[in-house]
Amino acid sequence: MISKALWRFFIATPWSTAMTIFGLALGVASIVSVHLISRTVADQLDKLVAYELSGYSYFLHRDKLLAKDYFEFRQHWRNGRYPGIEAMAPFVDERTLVDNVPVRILGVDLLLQSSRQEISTQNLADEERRSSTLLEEVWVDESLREKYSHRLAGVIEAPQGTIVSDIGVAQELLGWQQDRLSYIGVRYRDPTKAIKDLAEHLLPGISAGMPVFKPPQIVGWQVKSLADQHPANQFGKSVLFNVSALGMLALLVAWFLIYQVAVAWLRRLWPVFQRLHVLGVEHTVLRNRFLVMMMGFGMVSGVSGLFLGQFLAEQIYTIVVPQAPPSLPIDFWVVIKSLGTSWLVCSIGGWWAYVQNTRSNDGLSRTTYILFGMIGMAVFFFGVLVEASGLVGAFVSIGVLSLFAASSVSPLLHTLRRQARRIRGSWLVRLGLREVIWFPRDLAVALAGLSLAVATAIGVGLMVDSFRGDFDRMLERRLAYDWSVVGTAPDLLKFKAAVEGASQLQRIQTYAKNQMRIQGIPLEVNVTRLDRYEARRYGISRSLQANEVLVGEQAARLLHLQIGDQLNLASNAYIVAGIFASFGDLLPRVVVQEIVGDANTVAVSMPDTINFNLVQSNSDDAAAWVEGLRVEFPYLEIHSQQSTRKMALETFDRTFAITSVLIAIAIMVAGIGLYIAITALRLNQTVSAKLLSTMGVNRWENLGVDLARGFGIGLCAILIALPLGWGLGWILCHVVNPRAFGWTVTMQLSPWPILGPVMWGLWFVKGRSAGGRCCWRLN
Amino acid sequence: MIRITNLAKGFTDGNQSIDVLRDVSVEVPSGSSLAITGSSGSGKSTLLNVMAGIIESDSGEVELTAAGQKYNLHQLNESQRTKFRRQHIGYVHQFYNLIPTLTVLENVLLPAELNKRKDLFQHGARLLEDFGLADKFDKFPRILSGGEQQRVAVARALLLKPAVILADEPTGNLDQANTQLVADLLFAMAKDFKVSLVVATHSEDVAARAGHRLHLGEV
Ligand SMILES: Nc1ncnc2c1ncn2[C@@H]1O[C@H](COP(=O)(O)OP(=O)(O)OP(=O)(O)O)[C@@H](O)[C@H]1O
Ligand SMILES: [Mg+2]
Repeated sequence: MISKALWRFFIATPWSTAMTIFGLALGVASIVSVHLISRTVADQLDKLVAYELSGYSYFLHRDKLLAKDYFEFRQHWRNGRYPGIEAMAPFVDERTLVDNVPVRILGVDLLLQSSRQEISTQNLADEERRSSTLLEEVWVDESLREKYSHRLAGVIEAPQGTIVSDIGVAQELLGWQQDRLSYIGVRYRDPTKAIKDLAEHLLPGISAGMPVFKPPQIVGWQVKSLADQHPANQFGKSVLFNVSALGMLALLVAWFLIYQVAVAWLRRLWPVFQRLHVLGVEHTVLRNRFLVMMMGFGMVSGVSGLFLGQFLAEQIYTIVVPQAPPSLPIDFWVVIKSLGTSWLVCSIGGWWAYVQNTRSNDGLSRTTYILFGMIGMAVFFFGVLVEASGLVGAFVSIGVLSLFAASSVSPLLHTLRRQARRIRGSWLVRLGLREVIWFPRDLAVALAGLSLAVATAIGVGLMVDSFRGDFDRMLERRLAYDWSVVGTAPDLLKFKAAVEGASQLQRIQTYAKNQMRIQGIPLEVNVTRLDRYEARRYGISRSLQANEVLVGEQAARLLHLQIGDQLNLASNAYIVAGIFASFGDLLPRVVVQEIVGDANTVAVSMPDTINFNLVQSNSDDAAAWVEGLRVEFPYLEIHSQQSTRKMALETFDRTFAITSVLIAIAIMVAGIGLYIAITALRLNQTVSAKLLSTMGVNRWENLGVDLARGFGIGLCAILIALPLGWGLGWILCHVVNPRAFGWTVTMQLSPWPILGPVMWGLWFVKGRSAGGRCCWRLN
Repeated sequence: MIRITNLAKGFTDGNQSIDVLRDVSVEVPSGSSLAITGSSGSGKSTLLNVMAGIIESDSGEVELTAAGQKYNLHQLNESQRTKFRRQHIGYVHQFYNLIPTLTVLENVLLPAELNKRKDLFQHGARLLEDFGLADKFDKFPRILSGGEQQRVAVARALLLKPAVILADEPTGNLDQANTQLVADLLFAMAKDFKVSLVVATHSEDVAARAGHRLHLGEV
C-alpha cells in the first residue's frame, strides 16, 4: 500500500524524481572525475623521475666506486648492519660521447629480479626474449634505434640519447674496467608506506605532503635522495598536494549535494508521509521505506554517475591538456570512494534529514552548541599553533574551520530572519531578500555547500596566486644563470679552467656543497662567491663578508636563528646576514662566502655545480659554443636553464589549469545543490506567486524578485565564504605549506582569486533562480 | 460598471473538455454589488478570474468602466490586462491572502507601491486602524488569526479605491462573528468608496446583502 502510494508519487512527479536521480548522479560524477584527474596528474609527475630509478629512493655515492665496495656494503647489510634498508642494487649512470653524440648510459643489474621487471613492464611483451642474450643487448630511446639495431632489446620512452643495459654492457660502452660503478641505489623500509599508499589511493597527491622519510646517515658514503636529483619533481609534488586538497573539497561539496538532494526529496514526499502517518503508519516504517528508496536511487544514480564522471574527466582533461588524449580507467578505489561514500551519505543523510523533519525544535541546545564551539576552537588553535601536530593538525584545523562556517549558516539565517523587517527598499527587494532567510531549514544545507565551495575556491585561489608569485621568484633565483653544469669536481675544475677568459663568457660561478650536522640537524652548506650579483639571488643587495652566512628559512626555524645571530660551522663563527625563502629545498641550507686558499673545513670543498652566463645568450653563436663544450666535456651535464624554466612553467600552468577546473566543478556542483534547494523552496512560494499575479505584478517584476533572491543567496554565501576563504588561504600558505615543504608561501591578497569565485558563485545563483522562473508562473 | 455578455469558458484536461461557463450575462452598475452563488464547481472562481483578466474567456465580452474609461478585456493582451488589474481591481481570496514575508502594513501598502502612489501610505495606515488592526502594523501575517488576515486583505483591496473589488468566498473559513465583521466592512466600504463589489459566496447571509445576484447552475 505504502509502496504503491510512493510509486504513484514518483510517476506523478517525474521531473522532481529525475532531478533527484540526476543530483545524486552528479555528486558521484564529480567525485569520480576529480579523483581521476588528480590521479592522472599524480602519475604524470611521477613519470618525471626516470623509471629505472623509481624503485630506489636514495643513492650512495663515493669517489671511485668499485664493485668490491658494493659487495662489501651488501655483506654488511646482510649481516644486519643497516636494518632500515630493504633492497639495494649497483648502477652505472654516466654521460659520454658516442660518435660525437652525447648520450647517457645507464647500467642496471639485470640479474636482479627487480630491475629486470622495471624494464620489461615498460616494453617487453615476448617472454622468450628475456633470455641470456639480454645481457648483451641494449634498450635505447627512439633517437638511437638505428645505431643500435644490431643489438637492440627494445625501444623505451626516455629522454633523447638514453641507453639502458646490463651493467657489463654499460661498462663496455663506457670503456671502463669491469668492476667500476657509479653509485648504489637503496630502498629504505618506510614504516609509514602502507598508510601513505592507502591515503594516496583515496586522495591522489595527498602523500606528497606527508613527512618525507629521512634515512640515517651512512658513514663513508654520500647519500643523495631521489628528490635531491629532481627538485622540479618536489615542487610539482607541492602543487599536486594542493590538487589533492582540492579533491577533498570536491568530495565534501559532493557529499553536501547528495545530502541536499535527500533533504529536498524528503521535503517533496513529506505531505504524503504525513498523510500516511495520520492514517496510522508509524514513522519508523516510513523512515525505513524512505531510506530503502534513497539507497535504490543511490544505486541507479551511482552507477550512471560513475560513467558520467569518467566521461567528464576525459573531456576536461583533453580540453586542459590537448596534446595527451588520456584514457582514465575506473579502478577499485574510485568505485569505493564514489559509490561507497555516496551510499553512506545517502543513508545517513536521509536518516538525519528524516529525524530533523520529525523533530519540532531546531537543532541542538545552546549549551551543546557552546560546548562544541569551545572544543572546536581548542582543536583549531592547537592544530594551527602547535607545529608538532603536523599536517594532520593543519588539516583538522581546516576541517574545524569549515565545519564551523558551515554550521553557522543555519543560525545566521535564523538571526537574519528575526531581523527580517529591517530589510527595506522597494517591495521587490524586500520580497526577494526576505524569502532567502524565510526558510532556513530548506536553504541552510545548500547554502553551506555553496559557501564552502566558494570559500575554498577563494582560499586555494589566494594560495595559488601567492604560490605563483613565489614560483616566479624561485625560478629567478634558481635559474639566475643561463647555463648550468653538473659533474664531478675534477671535471668541473677542468671545465672552469678551459672556459675562463673566453670572450663569450659573461660570468661564471662555482658552487660547492657540504653536508654537516649542527646541533644534530643535518645541514647543507653551500660555498660560493657571494658578491653583489650572487647575493641578490637571496634577497641581499650587497656582497657578503667572509664571516657572514645566509640561512634558509628551514634552517633558521630549526636552529632558532634570526638576522644578526651567530652560527658556528666547523669551529668558525658566522653572523647571520640574511634569511632566504626555502622554496621547497630538501635539506635545511646555509650559504657561506667562498674563501680562496683558506684551509678551513667549511669553505674549502670541491665544486659540484658551475653556473655561467653568456654575453649573447640567445644567439646561434652562443648555442654553437655551448655545443662545442658539450663535445669537449662529455662527462659533464650542461643544461640550458631557460628550457628548464620553460618546462617548469608549462608543468605549473597545466597543473593549475586543472586546479581551476576542479574548483569550477566544485562550484558547479554546489550551484546545482542550491538549484535543487531553490526548486524545493518554490513549493513554499506558489501562494505568493499567485497573489502577486492577482495584484497585477508582471513578468519583469517577477524576474526582479528572482534576481533579488539570487542576489540575497549569493550575499549570504559570500558573507560566510569571504572570511572562511581568507582563513583557508592563510592556513594553506602559513601552516600547511611550511609543514609539508618547509617554506612559507608569501600570501598576496590580490583581488582576482577572490573576485573570480565570487562571480562564479553569483552567476550560478543568478542563473539558477532565473532559469527556474517558469515554475513561478501561475497554472 | 461591469457588463458581461454571453460569456463562455471551458477547460480541456487531456482529451476531456468541460464547459464551465456558458452564456453568462450580467450587468452591475458602478457602486453596487453582485453576489455570485452556485454549487461547488459551478464556475464562480472561474468567472472572477475572467473578470480580473487572469484568464481569458473563450467567447463573449467583459466590459468594465474604471476611472471614466471603458475597458474591453477581450481586446487587451496579457500585459495590458496585468496593468489594468494592477490599477483597477482589488482581489480578496478565501485564504492565503497575505504574502508571508511582508508585514501587515507592507501587505496593505503593496498595491500603492506597485502603482507608485506614495500618497496613499497614510490612507493605508488609517484603513488598518479603522479595521481594528492598529497594533498589528509591524507583525508578520503568520501570527494573525484568520479573521484578522481577512480584514487585512479587505483593507488591501480597498486601498486604491479601485473600480472593482472581486472577493472569492471572503468569509469562507470564518466563524459567524468574523463573517459578519468582514462582510460589513466589505459592503460598507464599497458603498462609501463607490466601488463595484462582486462576491462569490456559499453564504446566504452574505449573498442577501448584495444588490444583484447571479446564480450559476451546474452545466
Ligand atoms: N485551470 C483549470 N483547468 C481545468 N479545469 C479547471 C481549471 N480551473 C477550474 N477548472 C474546473 O472548472 C470548474 C469550475 O471551477 P471553479 O473553481 O470556478 O468552481 P467554483 O464555483 O469556484 O467552486 P468552489 O465553490 O468549490 O470554489 C471545476 O470543475 C474545475 O475542475
Ligand atoms: Mg471557488
